[in-house]
Amino acid sequence: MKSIFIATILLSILTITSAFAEDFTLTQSIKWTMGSEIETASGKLKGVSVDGAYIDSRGHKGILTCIGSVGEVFKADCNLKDEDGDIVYLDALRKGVDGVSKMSGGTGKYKNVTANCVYQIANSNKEASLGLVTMQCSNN
Amino acid sequence: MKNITIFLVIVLMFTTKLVLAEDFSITFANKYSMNGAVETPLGVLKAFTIKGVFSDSRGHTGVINCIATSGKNLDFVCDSKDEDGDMFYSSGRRAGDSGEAIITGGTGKYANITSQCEYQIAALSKVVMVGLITMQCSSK
Repeated sequence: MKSIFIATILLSILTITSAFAEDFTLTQSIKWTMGSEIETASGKLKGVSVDGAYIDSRGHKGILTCIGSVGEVFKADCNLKDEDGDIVYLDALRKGVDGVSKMSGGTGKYKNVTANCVYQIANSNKEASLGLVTMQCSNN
Repeated sequence: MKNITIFLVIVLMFTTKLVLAEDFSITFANKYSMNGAVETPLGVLKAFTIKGVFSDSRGHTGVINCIATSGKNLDFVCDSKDEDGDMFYSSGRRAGDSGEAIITGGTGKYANITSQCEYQIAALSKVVMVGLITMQCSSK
């Protein structure tokens, strides 16, 4: 009886969590521009700016802008402005072609919205400094 | 009896077409560079080069290069090279945010394969001239 009760509680928690978490995806077309390079205690670090356009599975689209650095890992802070002019803020951390990202609020419909994401460089052309990025997110 | 035979032939033709036709989608991250413009009797015609990367639903990735002119419509011809070095050739026309394209053979796995496609400008950053293109194709 106790086991059934615990199982019911766990199932309820899982259901409630699933109901509140909204999964969505983003696809991004990005172009990057490398900046200056500096020496740091952990090696060389290059500045980078990223610009592009995106669509998401919720029906939004817009432009994105990031500034960041490339060393042993890629780190950046970004904002995405959608078709309504609403902005969402996110950071990105990547090693190789896979990375993680966190959305942390914004303006308009994104105010107080947070999400944890994973992303992949689906394809890139280093000669043209172009990339196709796929991202999967889950709202907290 | 004749009607049944005709019906069966039609069903067979339809089934064969479904089996031989392969539907697939391609996502492109493209960067546009304007090369010049000329006055024509139909108005100003601008020349573009387009460089990009793609990923398709068949599991292929690669790079794309196009030359295009933009007046009343945007007309383009492209070559694309996938991860195996196989190339496919395409051309098309767009008016507004959507258009049609045709893939007309290529090398390796794309030799003698033609596909009819529809495509959309899913997202575009006019500031940095970067676009995200979604394309739906059906092979013959």
